[in-house]
Amino acid sequence: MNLLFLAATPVAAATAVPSPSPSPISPFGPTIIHFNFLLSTLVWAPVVAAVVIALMPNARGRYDRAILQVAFWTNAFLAFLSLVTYNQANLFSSAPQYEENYPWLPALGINYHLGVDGVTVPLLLVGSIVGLVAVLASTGIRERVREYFVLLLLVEATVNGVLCARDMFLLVVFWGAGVLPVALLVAGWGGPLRRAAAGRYLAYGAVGTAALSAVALILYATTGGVSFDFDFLVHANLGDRLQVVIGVLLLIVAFTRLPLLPFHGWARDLFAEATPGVAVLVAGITARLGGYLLIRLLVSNQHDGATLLAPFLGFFAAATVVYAALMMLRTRDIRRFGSYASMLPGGVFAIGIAGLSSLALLGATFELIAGGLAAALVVGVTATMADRAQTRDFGLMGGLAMRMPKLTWLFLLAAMAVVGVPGFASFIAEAFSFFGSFLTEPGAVLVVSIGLALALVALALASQRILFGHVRGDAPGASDASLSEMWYLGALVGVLLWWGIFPGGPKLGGSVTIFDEGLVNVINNSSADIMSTYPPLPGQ
Amino acid sequence: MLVVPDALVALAAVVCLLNHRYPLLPRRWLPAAAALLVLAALVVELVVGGTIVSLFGGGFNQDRFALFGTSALLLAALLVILASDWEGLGSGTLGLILLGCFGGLVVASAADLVGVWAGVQLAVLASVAAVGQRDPSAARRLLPLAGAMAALAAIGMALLAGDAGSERLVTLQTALSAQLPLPLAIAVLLVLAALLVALAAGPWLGPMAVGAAGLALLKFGGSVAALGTAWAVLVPALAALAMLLAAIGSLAGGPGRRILGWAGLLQLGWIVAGLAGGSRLALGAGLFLFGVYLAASAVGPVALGETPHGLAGLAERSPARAAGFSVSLLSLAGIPPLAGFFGEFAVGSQLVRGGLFWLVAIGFFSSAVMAFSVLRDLRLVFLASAGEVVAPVARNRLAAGGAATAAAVLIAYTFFANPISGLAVQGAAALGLR
Repeated sequence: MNLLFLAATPVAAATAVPSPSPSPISPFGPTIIHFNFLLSTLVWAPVVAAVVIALMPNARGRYDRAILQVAFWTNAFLAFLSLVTYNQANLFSSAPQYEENYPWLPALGINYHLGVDGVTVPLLLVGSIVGLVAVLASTGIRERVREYFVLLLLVEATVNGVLCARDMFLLVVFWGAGVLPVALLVAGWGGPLRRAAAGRYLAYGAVGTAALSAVALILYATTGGVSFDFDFLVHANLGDRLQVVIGVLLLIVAFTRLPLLPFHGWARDLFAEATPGVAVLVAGITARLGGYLLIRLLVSNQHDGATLLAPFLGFFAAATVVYAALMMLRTRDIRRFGSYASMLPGGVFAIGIAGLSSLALLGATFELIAGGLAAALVVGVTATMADRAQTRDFGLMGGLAMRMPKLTWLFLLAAMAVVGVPGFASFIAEAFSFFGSFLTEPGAVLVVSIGLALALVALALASQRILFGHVRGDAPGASDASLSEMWYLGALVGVLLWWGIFPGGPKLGGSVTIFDEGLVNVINNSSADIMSTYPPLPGQ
Repeated sequence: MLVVPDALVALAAVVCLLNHRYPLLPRRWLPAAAALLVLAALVVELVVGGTIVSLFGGGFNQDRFALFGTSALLLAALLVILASDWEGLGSGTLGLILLGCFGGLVVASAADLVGVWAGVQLAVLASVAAVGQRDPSAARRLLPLAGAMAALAAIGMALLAGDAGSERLVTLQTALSAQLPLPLAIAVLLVLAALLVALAAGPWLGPMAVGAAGLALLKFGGSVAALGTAWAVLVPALAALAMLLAAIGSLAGGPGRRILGWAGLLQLGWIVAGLAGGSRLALGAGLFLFGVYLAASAVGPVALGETPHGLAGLAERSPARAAGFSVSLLSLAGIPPLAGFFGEFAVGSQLVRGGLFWLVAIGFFSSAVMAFSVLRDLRLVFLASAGEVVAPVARNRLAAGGAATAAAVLIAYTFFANPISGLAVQGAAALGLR
């Protein structure tokens, strides 16, 4: 099946069930680079860089520039490795790849087990791109530069750790370890309400970590207390009631990260108060880990629990999108506007998960990536606009199109990306999610669509008000985006357009894939495999 | 050869105490010499401590529990000596700390209730005396507490020994009936109360008293874990109480030492919860966590030095001390990925296997609440704004280096979790648990 064609004609997708391509595609360059510790390098290289930066002498900020460069090149290295991982992943296997498995605490059944599959590999790539973008967005940091980049790199390490972990204990460790550095980044460098924002993030993060720990321990106990390894836990034969308990706990964990109603409070504050770099990193990848967890632990393993909880997930998805759209209409603070807009992709993802069909899961996974990039773009643009306009108040921001034309374009592109206008990757993700979920959750899909329409209205009104309104006499001076700001925002737009235009990868002569094997193909080998264990939907 | 570590520590203690009265050796080099002796004792223990033997007519047992306990105590003592600022402290304090350590070593190897009681009392009294060197009024307040603790423990142990017909720990397990009669339940409660009082006073008494009392608690707990209903109710309740108390107390804030104390109490709750599991693996997890706790609670306060209110901007003034304090606090609060979290998770996994879900839930809830205090203090240490008062920190390179080393040791504990936890499980097995 030509998935590019499928993406371009979403109506056809409504009845199609994606499956791994029947014949191997030969991408350029597989197995050029091969070493056994690829995933460990992705996880631990940022930690090593953080330690190096922490030990660098930096009296009176003398080496701030060097510290920035270490962080940048570390991220560039990670992006290169992630690209290698993405390029060389086996498209025709849903089994874990690049595996590393060593006993760590054998008495408790804990292993240092890393591995990735088709769901994880693109997320790793997106994580490294967002990390690079976050460093570029942080070039304006002037205070305590060393501490800032140490914490930023530690967050990136924990993100990669969560994505690569194939052992529940390891997953919990990385999950929990990522909370405090983000809270410290907000508390140390955020806006006027930074301490409240950090505290709230920590509270939700702590609740999520506790719930995830509980899931790990319940699974461990009910499987005889032998091992925390995913490969072992997936074979657990749990009853309906226990699956629902685990499912509810997993929903709590995911809701606190994505964020979804009613655990969304931290996002409103954090995205409004954090520096652009931190906001981009959290919106782009850290928040997406909640969704990843739902795929990895709920949909993959707890079939009965997922089926029973799907309507509730659909309800909360719809509630989140409508709430976010209404708050976008109501707020007069551009950073809060960006915060609410960044909640939209989480809702669309959740509707894809609630659909529980192959196409819906493909869309949901695609939305994790595209939605993350769109959310990062919208919080990045709004944060940069607030910085450049020297105000967050809509009332003082009229007529910015004349004063910051580059940011005006970027704001419009971000608005289009976050609601899923054709041409952007988020469109394909939304189309797959909606069409895949329509049979099972029609009501929720309808409400989410209405919510997105409302969000579009809010974006149009905000654009009219802040970009094309009258310039007020008491408005502070405004300037356009700097070069580094253009780079980081432009990079996000570029990636969103790339996967929006070439979801099946760019092809020579219609069949030979070059450079990118196609996000749809990479995801589909695992998502179709996951859904193959569910009973077919009526009419399939 | 097996008593060499104990002998080395006792020798170092006596030399330091004598030097306090008759200053013959240069005071400046005494801490370094003591650290070397303790390090030598630790190496000897690790090399020859694997031998399982009984000495002094059965009063001294060298088994895996003794190996684990002795190593943990020696490591804690080494970290305290390395990270303390000895310019402000006399050799008498050093001697008393080492004497306290010796008391703990006695507990680790004791085979009967008398040895356990004597070791704990020695450690506690030496610690009170060490406190008295710096703050006599604090020592006067602690002394009645220590006396009450000694009395409670003595009465409880005497009752237990009377019922069992022997003071030997190994016979307690078999002699005490599964259905616990009221007098014996009171006896167990008295001993537990005495040891928990000593542990709760840890922030004031110091790590050596805590080490001795903790080892006594684990040893005693391992011996009487088979006791029926009362044990199954009493110990989880005590653990939950400690966890919740620590979580609520930490919200009130306060100086760095106080937060360390609350975080330590939380971890103690987890250790006691390990006793509630009643199995070899559960007590092994508790023992592993106790080793982590001992190292972290030893490093934290001494890394802060004599500036208990000086958290703001500590990282600017003394990065090594800030690292020592932060790593200790993170470990005690059970924040991933440090060893404290490993230990708590290991205990939690065994509790869940035993059906104690509610206790695990309370533990995780308390750890989540504790995270706020950690955030507040770490923000002060690393990200204090210009407007916040930055208290001066005494510059002592040796102590700062010691604090950094201690932080590195705590981090290494995470990476070497496997052999350490393996030894802890063997230690629990040595107490007769299955």
